[in-house]
Amino acid sequence: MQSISALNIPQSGPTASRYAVALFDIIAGIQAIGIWGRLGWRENKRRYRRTVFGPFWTTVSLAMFVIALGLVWSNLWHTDPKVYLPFLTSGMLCWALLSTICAEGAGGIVGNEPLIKQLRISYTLLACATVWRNVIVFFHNLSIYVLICIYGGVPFTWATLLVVPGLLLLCLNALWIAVFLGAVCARYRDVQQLVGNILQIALFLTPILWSADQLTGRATILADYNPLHHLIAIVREPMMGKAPGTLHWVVVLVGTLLGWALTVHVMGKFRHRIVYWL
Amino acid sequence: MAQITLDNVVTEFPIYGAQPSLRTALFGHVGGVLRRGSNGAAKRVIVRALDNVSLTINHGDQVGILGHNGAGKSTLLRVLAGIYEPTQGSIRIDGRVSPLFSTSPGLVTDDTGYENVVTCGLLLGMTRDEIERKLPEIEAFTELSDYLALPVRTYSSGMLVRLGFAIATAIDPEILLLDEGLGAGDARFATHAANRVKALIERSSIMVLASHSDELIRQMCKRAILLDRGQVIADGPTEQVLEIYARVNRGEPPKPLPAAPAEEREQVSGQPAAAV
Repeated sequence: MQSISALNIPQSGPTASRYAVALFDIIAGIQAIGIWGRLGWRENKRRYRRTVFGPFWTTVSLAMFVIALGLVWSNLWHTDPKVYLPFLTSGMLCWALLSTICAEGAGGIVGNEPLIKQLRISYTLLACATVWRNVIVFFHNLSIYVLICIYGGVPFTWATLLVVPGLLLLCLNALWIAVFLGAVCARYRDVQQLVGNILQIALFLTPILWSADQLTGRATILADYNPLHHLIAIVREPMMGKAPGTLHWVVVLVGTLLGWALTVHVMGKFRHRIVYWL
Repeated sequence: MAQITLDNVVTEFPIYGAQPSLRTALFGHVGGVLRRGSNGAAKRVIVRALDNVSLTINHGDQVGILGHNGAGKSTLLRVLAGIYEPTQGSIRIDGRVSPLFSTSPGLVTDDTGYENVVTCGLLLGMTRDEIERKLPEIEAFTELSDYLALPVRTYSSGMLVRLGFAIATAIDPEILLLDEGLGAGDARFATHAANRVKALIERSSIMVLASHSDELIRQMCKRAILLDRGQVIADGPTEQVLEIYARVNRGEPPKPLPAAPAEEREQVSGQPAAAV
């Protein structure tokens, strides 16, 4: 009866503290695979209803972006497109996944107001649906990457399999970001606009279109102290057949713990108020 | 055994939009000067929707909530559903709550009837198996036959009501919370719907219904609660509370109820109020 608990979050009171309710929201929400699986899947179907290519439209636009940019920039920087294109594509795939979840997560609670005012539903469940929807898009996008890998001769190695834990960790982080931003944006509507702005700039400030090794001097902080860089690296490097460095894993693991701690704290303190903000 | 207990419940809504958002919060924390400068803006606008509501609803109760627009009916239902946690006071809910405030939570007009049956069913707490089992019954009730395979946006509003209603009323609720407006459609459908709601209520252990309609409450509920500006001004057998409601509607003061604890408030005497 797991689906029922995610739709009937207990009240805080003498028996359950607010933090217990927040934890319940998160755990029951993640467990309700049957519900968020369907919500995420349906949302994708809906967006591309009556189109011929369906979700592949995102793939097509990504492919055009990557090929156009890849050919011009590899020429500008005198690098081999067979090296630059796989690098750029893998980075953009991961960035599209992460940034879309952040942007949609920020509007997740506000956008689901009708549902939230009718059911005592887990907010985490709604965030899971967003993450899942974007993971589905990611797998569609992967098709273009496979073609580019063949063109660029990217090796398939044992390290490639690290994509699985990398992607799981990325999603786990995307999930807390979605829950956290959803709650904050329900209260402060400006933040949702701010998130959009920051994401736009972050694409250029994070080593996605360019490589971290190209940085010199003090600019290296853009890679070293940029959590987004590490988060993307743990998926991107396996995609290019390389094992991500230990630093990437450590930063992401610590970030995951801190991020979830922050989210549990915010949910524990404010979960019961969120519906009043809508 | 299902039971709901409210003890001095207060709900207060902060009204945003009437006050500045992030800017004030940020600058409010920045320094005393700015804060003092925007003193008027920093003052919160608050609406008290429920004011010290205490009641106990027991297993087997069928309760109607009466009151004018803005009396707090919907808020009370949402508190009973656990959607709004009381700002003050406490609430205890034993049993699984099934709120039916609109006919179809999560209904998406671009999806087909069948797709919506599954999505809405899941959101109402049914399992896939349950939905499969109830599908023939839902199909029969909606009388939509082949239309169920078409996107819901092609439906007429009456057909949409029938679909939403059929899904919503397919659940097996323990504590059922109904807001008025569930149902409607044409006359034949109305009787059809009334029977289905009756069956739904019979399956539940507690039913709470909010409505303006005397008739509906008289039919469905043995006990009624009259709300006025967020306060319970009468609680007792339906007929007696309806009398008080009628008196309030005529502009007479409600029967002066002694400020009694919740248990005693059950016995509302049927005597007419002293003429003013």
